[in-house]
Amino acid sequence: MNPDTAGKLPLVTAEAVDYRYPDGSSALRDLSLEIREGESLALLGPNGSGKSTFLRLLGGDGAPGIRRDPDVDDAGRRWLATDQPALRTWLSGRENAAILLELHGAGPGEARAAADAWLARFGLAPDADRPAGAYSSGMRRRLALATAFGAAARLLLLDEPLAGLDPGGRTAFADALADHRAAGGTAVLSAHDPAFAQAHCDRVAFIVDGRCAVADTPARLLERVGARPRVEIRFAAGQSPDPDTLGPAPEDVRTSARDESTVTLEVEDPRRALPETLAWVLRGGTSVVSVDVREPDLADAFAALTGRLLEGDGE
Amino acid sequence: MTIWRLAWRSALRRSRLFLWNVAVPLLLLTPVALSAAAAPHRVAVFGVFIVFFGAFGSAIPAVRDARDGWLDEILRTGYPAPRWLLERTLAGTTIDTLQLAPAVLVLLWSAGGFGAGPVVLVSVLATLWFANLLGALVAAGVRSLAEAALASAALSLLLLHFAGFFRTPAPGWTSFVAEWNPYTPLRAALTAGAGGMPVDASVWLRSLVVAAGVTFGAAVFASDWSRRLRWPRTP
Repeated sequence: MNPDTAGKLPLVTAEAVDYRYPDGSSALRDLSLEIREGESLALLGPNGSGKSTFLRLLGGDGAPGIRRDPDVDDAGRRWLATDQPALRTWLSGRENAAILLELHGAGPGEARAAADAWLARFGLAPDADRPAGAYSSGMRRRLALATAFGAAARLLLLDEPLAGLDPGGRTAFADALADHRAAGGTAVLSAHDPAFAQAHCDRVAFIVDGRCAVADTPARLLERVGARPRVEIRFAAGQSPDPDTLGPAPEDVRTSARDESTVTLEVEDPRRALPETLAWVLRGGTSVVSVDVREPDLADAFAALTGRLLEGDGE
Repeated sequence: MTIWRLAWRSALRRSRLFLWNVAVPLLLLTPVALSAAAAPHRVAVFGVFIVFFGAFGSAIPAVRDARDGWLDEILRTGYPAPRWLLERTLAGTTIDTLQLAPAVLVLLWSAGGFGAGPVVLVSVLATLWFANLLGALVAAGVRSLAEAALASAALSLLLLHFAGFFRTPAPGWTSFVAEWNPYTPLRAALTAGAGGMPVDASVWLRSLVVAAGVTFGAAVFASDWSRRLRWPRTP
């Protein structure tokens, strides 16, 4: 990962972008965001927050407020892979990929070579000659991603690239994303997986209700909210002790919360604090079912910075 | 010519569908060609079939391509919309002609010869070109497959009527409209083919001017047109 792209030139600038669908419903409201050259930017947000619409505007005809670098203003230098890739089901996977790459500007031989190379990288070489209609949804996603990376576009826009991918596919995608960036390419992807964004993207933008609430590196987002690791101690239903009745908490415990089966404690250093914390909680006299230590992630930062949950529409 | 090659590859890959599209016209039109019906009646049936074949065969896949996102997928690559439209129309025209050729040959054979064959072939090509273009135009203005079929049928029948397929144009404005109608050469050529009459070359000129004008207009407005076709899937 490139830890800081602050000094890079903006490849696309979105300034106060508003967009309404033809039926009048509002999709984007005053969305401002900068996409910097050479970065991988993840758009995180719940369903219906406007991520896909924003990507489509970036990859399509644009909208008032969106300024693209002249180089990526040419459709031949950018590529948008939508969340629902359309395929010619009667043609093979290789033919589907090669045709789109040809339409994007590659010569027939070049398109076929790129299709073969990227299908192999995404583990589709054995199925390259099968009709795309026989592909599973995960294989279709791999095909769409292989085509997208095969286009060697300067700006890659990927809508829900992880949807339906198995662990092998996720690894292939992460490797391809890293190579794309190493070659100087820029990628913007929408995702619902904060762990992937944290591990593989330079910056993350939190999108809520058609607006960009905040955009920064994953580390800085976590720093901003001061999120700490959490120790979750589970008990049998109705057996969780009330921390307020257990006496003084160990020094490392910062906050505590309880429901009928779980006590959740925010601690400074879980390795150091765990034995003392467990002993403190067990003063309640009940038996522990499980103990989990969870590092803070972008879902916590999302909730803290936007007041919304990353999944669903919950407040 | 990627779209042209894609259309042909798709047609040949679905070989059963391709052969079906040869067999159905042959099965439906052979009894008409061999019947004792008067030449104008046989010509009318052939004319309606050929025009519907081209217009439906263009409009319905265009709506389907728009709905399933394939058109969006193509145009997002940066491929120019006018090229997409013209290559698609050219591929549709040639594929349709090949599929209709056996039935048209039966009509010529039943009339006792293939002397009018070249004229009929050119007129069928020109008609299918226009019908394919019309189908794509219709697709941009409708919101479902059913509407595409209905609008294609209504528009085609109107043009066929004014081309004189169902009654000889009376002197006056209907005759004027027939002279400029892109389907008039097909009527003239099929009538010649079915009855062994010579074709008056003058029927071609004005109709071809109209067809060329519509082609030019379609190419000029193809971007806007394709955007309408892509709605509402894309911002």
